[in-house]
Amino acid sequence: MSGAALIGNPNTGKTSLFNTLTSSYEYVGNWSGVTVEKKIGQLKDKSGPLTDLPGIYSLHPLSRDEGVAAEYLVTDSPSLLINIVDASQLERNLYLTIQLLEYGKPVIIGLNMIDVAKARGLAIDTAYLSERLHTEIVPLIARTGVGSKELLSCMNKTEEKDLSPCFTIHYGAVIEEAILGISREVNSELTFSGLSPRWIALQILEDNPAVMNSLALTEATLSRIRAIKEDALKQLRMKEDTSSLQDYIRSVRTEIIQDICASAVDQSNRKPHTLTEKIDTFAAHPVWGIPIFLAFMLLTFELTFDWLGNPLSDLLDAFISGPLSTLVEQGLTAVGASGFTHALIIDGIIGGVGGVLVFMPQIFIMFLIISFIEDSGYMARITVMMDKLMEMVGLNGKALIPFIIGFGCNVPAVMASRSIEQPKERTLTMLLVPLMSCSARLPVYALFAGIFFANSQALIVLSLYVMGIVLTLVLAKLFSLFLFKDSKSFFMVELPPYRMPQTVTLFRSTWEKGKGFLRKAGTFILGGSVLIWLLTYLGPGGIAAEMDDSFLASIGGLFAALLEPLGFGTWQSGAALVTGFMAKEVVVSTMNIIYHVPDMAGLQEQISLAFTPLQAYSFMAFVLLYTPCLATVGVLRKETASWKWTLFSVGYSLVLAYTVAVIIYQGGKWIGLT
Amino acid sequence: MADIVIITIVFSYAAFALYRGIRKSKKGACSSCSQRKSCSAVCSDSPAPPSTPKSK
Repeated sequence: MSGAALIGNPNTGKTSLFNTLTSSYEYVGNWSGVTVEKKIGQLKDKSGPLTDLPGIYSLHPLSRDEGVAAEYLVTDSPSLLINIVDASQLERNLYLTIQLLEYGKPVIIGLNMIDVAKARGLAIDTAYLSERLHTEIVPLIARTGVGSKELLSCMNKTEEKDLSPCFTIHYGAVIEEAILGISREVNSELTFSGLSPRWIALQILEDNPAVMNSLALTEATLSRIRAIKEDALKQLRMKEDTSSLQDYIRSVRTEIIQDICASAVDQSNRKPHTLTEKIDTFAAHPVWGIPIFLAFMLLTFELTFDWLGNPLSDLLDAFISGPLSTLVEQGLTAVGASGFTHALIIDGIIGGVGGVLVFMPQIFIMFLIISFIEDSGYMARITVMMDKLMEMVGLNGKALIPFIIGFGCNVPAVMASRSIEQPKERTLTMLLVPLMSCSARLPVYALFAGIFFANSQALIVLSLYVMGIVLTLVLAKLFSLFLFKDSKSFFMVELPPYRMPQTVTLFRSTWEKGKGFLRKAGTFILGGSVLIWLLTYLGPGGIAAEMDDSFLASIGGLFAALLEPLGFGTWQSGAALVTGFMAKEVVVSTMNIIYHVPDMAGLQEQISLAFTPLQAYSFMAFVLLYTPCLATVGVLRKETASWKWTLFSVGYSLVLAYTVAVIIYQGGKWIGLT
Repeated sequence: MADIVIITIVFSYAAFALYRGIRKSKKGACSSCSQRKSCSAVCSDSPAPPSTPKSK
């Protein structure tokens, strides 16, 4: 098998099927545009490679990621196409199917979501469909894996027999003549392309830029093709009322699709109002939608902190500071380790890494809820509700996807900005992504809000997230007014039906998101903790007797005066913020090492002596907004390909953080808060 | 003796972890990302889009 490709409309379950058919795990979500690049995996039965392509409605691309599929068909020429079709949206899905059948290579239709179609009261006659389209049809439920074995065996059978489809649409004399003419031109130039000349001719008649660019025809051929097209359009206009060849071809295909669907789909039991429509009347309401979303977020934080996260975190803390520390302590004593080694392991590693690891429950719960929102279909509604707001401030609706990913980690969020076609909008999005409160900042909030705002922890954390979002909108407006004028592009999002996420998928997706945090704790944060501990152990005069004489105190002290107006002008805060540039979790590690205390309760007591609630809030806001972490700066440099924009991102966020923290602290003091 | 072994292991591992972390961050793109395997913008070494706006 030289290669099969999965191709279909957005959000039809291609990646779910890809994960089932290959042994890889790729990110899936119940929202359009999750896949923006093609991915290649090996089929489980080792019969060859399988390529997963981004979802498209037709081969005519609307954005860069949509062009990936059309370019792939021209340049890679797969031997087999597996077209995933959403059974509940058959009519819309068949448009792409027809273009694929015309491609000339064997096509298998994976009729997915037959369960959803059934729930809507739709019955599909697959035998009739197969007969009309002259191709194999395999019913599927990709989410649960039903039908994947049949699909795999059908793929092997089709491959062996090399059955090319004999499906052809007669587009009328004028178009057929043009197809012949263009086919001759293309054939004379591309003798070994292996592509169907009829398909290429149709794509050219439809003005498909991705196909035309990939073919790289000579100017002479192109001008002859242009003449054929102009002539065809002229002749067509004499007979039909059509504005372009593309429109006419579309209308012929649509007519055939409607004819097929009329016989293949039995709608007699169709349910008038689906559950999705009922939920959407309030969840995606233009007025109530946003308050409902905010209430949902508040609920998320209640769960993440008060209800579930904190009790679990306390248990973990009790284990790390209790049995684990005692065991390590005893082990070190048994092997005769010195005081230095004791301090290094207990204060440095267990203090630094353990101090961050105790917040693992909060991070995992947060990821679980994010995965639930994505997989249930609610995420797509959020993007639609925010789209108007985004447009008002000069951002592309597509920017929402990076922003939402940014709540997990800013690095993949910056990468996800690639799906934005307009370079200016893409740069604007990348610059603003770091304002999204990533999961690395959660430990800082959990620590501080837990100490100073124990009764309203969820509300305080929600306020920080909202602060990030509001500032993003304000800055987007400012930046688009002064830095990125005149840019507009197209955003389209499809609303998938709501569905109850599969438990396995949910936990898998949570684990995939969360394991990065664990890996980071065991590598970078551990390394950082040892370095920070060493900086507290040593000072300009050798071994520091007091931590105030250490190198870390000297480094933090440099910034203390500068941080004074913000309410936390101590060397400890300065040091925690400087080291937090490595990764934001390190702010907590540093605090643990500086205040070297045996457990969370001890640390909380120390911090409650060093900060007031107002200072703590100002500190949290500063951590939210100040410079993106090292990894984000790295990815920004790579993606913007400009040091100027990277430094601008660091610079503006520092200024913003400073201004906001000053306003919070000084303003708070002014109105009498402490 | 055990002391020296522990200290050597801890410091070498910490130095290695920091070195690798910083090197990955410097490289940018997917290599620095904690979610690169489960990422929506998965980048099988694909180049960044070529056009970026020129600063004013």
